Amino acid sequence: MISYILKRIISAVPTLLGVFLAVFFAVRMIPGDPAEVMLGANATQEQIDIYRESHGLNRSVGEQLVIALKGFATGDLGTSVSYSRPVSEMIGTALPSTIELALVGVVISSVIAVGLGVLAAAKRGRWPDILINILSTVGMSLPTFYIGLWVLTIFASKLGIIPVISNRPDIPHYKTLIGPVITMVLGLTLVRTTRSSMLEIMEEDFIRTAKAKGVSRKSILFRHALGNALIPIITMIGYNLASAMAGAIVLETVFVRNGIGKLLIDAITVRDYPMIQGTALVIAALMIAANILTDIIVALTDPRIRVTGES
Amino acid sequence: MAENKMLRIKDLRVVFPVGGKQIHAVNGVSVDLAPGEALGVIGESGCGKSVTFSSVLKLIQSPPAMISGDIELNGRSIMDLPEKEMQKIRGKEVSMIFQEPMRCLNPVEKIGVQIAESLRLHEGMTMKQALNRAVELLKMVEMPDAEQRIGCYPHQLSGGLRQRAMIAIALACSPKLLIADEPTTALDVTIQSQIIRLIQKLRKETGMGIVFISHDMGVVASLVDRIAVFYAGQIVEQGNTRDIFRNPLHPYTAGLIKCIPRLDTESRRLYTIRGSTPNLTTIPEGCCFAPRCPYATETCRTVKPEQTAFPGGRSCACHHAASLN
Repeated sequence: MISYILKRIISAVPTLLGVFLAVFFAVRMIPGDPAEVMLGANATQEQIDIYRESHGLNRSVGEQLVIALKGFATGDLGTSVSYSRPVSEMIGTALPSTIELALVGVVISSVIAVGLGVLAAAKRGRWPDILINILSTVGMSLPTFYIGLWVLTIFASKLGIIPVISNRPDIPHYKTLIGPVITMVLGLTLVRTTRSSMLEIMEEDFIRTAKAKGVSRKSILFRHALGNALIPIITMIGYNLASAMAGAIVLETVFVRNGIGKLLIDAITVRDYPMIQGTALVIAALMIAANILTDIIVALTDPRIRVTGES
Repeated sequence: MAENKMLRIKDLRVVFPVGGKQIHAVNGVSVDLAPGEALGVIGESGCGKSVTFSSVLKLIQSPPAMISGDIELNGRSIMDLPEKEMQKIRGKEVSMIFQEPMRCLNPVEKIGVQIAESLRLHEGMTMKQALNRAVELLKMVEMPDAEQRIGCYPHQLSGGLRQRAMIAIALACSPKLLIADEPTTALDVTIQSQIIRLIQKLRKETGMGIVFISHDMGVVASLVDRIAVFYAGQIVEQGNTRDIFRNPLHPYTAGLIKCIPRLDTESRRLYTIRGSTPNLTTIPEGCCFAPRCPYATETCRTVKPEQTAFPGGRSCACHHAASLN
């Protein structure tokens, strides 16, 4: 198991390098010169030249790549062009709030979605199933930013429960979580996976065995069926956690909440190359970490993987 | 005699609506079982034998299935019993074991926990008591290293051991009746005979009644007192094992017996019954075996044969039973 985890971590390095290179070239293809964007339309050529030189932008792309790769190898993500502070320090400040959002959001939305999925499977073909199916189809079809805007409209403008802009210091921290979490819940991503896994398992022979033992319907549903359906469900939750790290870009922008996603979007706006590279790299690393974590949890949950051979 | 039956099935009919058609899986089956008696149920795949005896535990979802007739356990009809009452009967009064031991055990729970579940449900034991009892049960089904095996998951055991674990689950609460639905079909021949010997031994020890469902005449021969032969959702012949083997009344039974490979005869080809089982979407007018029967006459094709009693508690549904005898 430990050697497997190590292998996964080592194999993540080339992936991260690939992401880093892709982002390095992609940002340089965005139209607009960082110096001009930063200094504004009224900057003189002299100012622009000084700015470029101080940030190493006057060097060739090849030289910039070498510097960036050296940074990648040593873990130095460089200095933010727009904030003039080390990128790693900025990310370090923003990261906890993004991870917090992803974890809280994924946990709450998973619990609700699994509950609805089990209910739909138990009431298969009847009105609760049909209703849940319609809701989850709508939730999954609508883009996150669209749901987010509706959540803002209803909960912030109409009801005034949550702030429209979350990164003001006077707002209690928990309130900044409510809007994004509601948005994640309304996505209802897990409902269908849960329902179909449950229905599949309910057809298995061991469910009939449980029934023949005199096990109650409730216990069959939650212990025998959900106990087995949990394996594909956990896999999906892990996938959701990984995509929540990237999804933070949208949620943090819509709800104006500080975090690594907002850092990335702001950096793109001002062409802050090192910051874009750094945040993209960290988001990719988080996704990989979430995937590895999922595989480990699945392996621990499923005795067919965890325990091999006769004891 | 009527009071002395632990299981009585009367004119059971089970119809499955499938895609606009109706499958008549069981067409008026009547059979009963005295306490401690062992009944062999023989028939080809899809002849309604599993459906009939799954109905005893109400394991058939209804609706969609339409079930009529009557099933009595110890004189009490279960047809209108609510689900809660059925849960008390399942695994306690009547237990069932199934064909595929590979797929009939919960893959994510330890064997011990799966045995303990019945004990905790029906006997009100604590987990610890139930696990101790599980070890005893595994010893009873001759599982080697029972103490260690309760901590095993199903995938760690071989097919034969899994079937032993299945039997331990079924026998956990000392049921009065065990329904064994082709318990040896998915196993190797050597393991098959081990399991049959085990069931024989357990029957002697516990005195429970057994319904042993199989498509193999040879498998049931040594195990049961009485045999019911199913064909197309009906019982075509019933009688004592010895009588049935020595002197089958129904041409189908005779055919099945001839199908058992023998080493002591000269014939080189194995016997087969020509044709195949009828489509159960329509019930034929006459005898349902007529299209495959070498003795079929015009009467067989138009008039449905009634169950007729024969000496020695036998019965047979064939127009020619007396003359073929």
